[in-house]
Amino acid sequence: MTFPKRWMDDDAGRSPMRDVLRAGTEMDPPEGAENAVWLALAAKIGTAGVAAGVAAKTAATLSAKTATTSTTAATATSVGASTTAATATAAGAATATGAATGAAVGGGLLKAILIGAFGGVIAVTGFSALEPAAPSPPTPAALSPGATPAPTKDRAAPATPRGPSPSSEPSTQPAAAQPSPADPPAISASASPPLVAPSSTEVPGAAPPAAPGSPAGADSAAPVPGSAEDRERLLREEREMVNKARTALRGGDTGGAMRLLEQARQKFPGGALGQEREALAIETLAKSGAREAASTRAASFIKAHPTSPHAARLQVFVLP
Amino acid sequence: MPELQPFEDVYREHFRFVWRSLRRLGVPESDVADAAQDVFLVVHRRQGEFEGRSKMTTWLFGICLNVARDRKKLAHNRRRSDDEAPLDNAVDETIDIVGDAERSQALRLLESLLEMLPLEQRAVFILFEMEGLGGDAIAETLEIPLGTVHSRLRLAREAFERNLKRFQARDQFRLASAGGET
Repeated sequence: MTFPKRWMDDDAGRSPMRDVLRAGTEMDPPEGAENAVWLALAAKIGTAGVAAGVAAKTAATLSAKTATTSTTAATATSVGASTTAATATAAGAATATGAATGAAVGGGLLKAILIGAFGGVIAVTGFSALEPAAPSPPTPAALSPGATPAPTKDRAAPATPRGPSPSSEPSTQPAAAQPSPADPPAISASASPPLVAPSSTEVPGAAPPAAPGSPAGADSAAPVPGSAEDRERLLREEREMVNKARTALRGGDTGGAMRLLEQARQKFPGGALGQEREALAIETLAKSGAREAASTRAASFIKAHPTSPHAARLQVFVLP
Repeated sequence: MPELQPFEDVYREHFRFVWRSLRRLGVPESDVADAAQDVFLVVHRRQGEFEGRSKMTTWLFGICLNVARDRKKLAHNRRRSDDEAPLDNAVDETIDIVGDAERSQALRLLESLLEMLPLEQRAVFILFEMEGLGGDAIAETLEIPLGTVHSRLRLAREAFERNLKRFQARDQFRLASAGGET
């Protein structure tokens, strides 16, 4: 039985299929996913010792990987990133990673996870999970270098232009010193994904002298002040808002969804998720009965972005 | 009896393969961490049954396929109960909208095209085209006769190519008509 020649091996370069298939290489796991999933696993299997050991390993590999991850930091989806100096203890890293796992598992929200910030100097990603109501209150989740694990409030003020004031609610993941791998509420919540409010804490003075990361992705974010971290934060906030809107829509709350989408539009004009937002808005309109409006907007979306992957989906909303 | 490979070694060695396979089998990006966890929980539970009778990846892919199938069913039921009629017509409704921003156009296209294949064809297709397995290895992995591998692959390739052409033609058409109207 003879099998055809693989499209991937078609070196004549005439196969459009090959180009499409090549994109499959992007289906590899993002940085940090391996350790995050491992920690969640270890928590379930009950090998706590394993989890701690791996967390330490994570800390070690993290600093080794930072040089490369810094370039992807700008474009990768950071669910939550915070930086701390390299002096962060293994325990600190373990906690952060554990929290990361919680968030990832709980929200089902694993995109690119661990964002190294700067070559060998800075790199710990902090997450905090389960913050259903508040828009995006920054809560401390990472340890400041050499400091006690007490929740720090020293957000770098200029670096967080948006987001409400540091809320008074108890910090969800106060970065306790024990490397408790994944916290149970986060895991059990996976059935109905809670909205995740990643925290970000910047430690003043920890910033490296040179700009971290490359300017990759500079064209994708909204009004961007400076650094890759800022862009990530904006993208993250925007994503959260769009996420909430979608959750509202799926839950039948079209009014809430529309409000959130409108907020997102005002807060992130020209944001990276503009197309997603508009697609959702159209869907929301249709679902709430405003079919004419949905049709009009779907038509103009398709016209403006004929090659967008949303275009095909939105076609169904266009009235004949 | 060959010594059992430590679980962590299995995990470290094959995590990428499992992740990739799940994605290619249609598990959306937002769910793949959970799905990968499910796969390795099964691996952990049943590792004793493996005993090296086949290649590890063969065994793992089978588990991935089951997990992906279960999740698809689950998602399908959820959608039905959601009563979201307009979306039932969409070809790529499992695509994770939020994840789109950081994915390339080509990747989204690939996902859409794969999504249009029945899961059985899709499994054969990705093992052949993307993992580079031969016919015999695929037959072993999926526990189906070689002839079935062959016919599924043929159908999958035909559909893939046809759908790709259709996508491209439609884009052309849209571009043309968008330019022609006001």
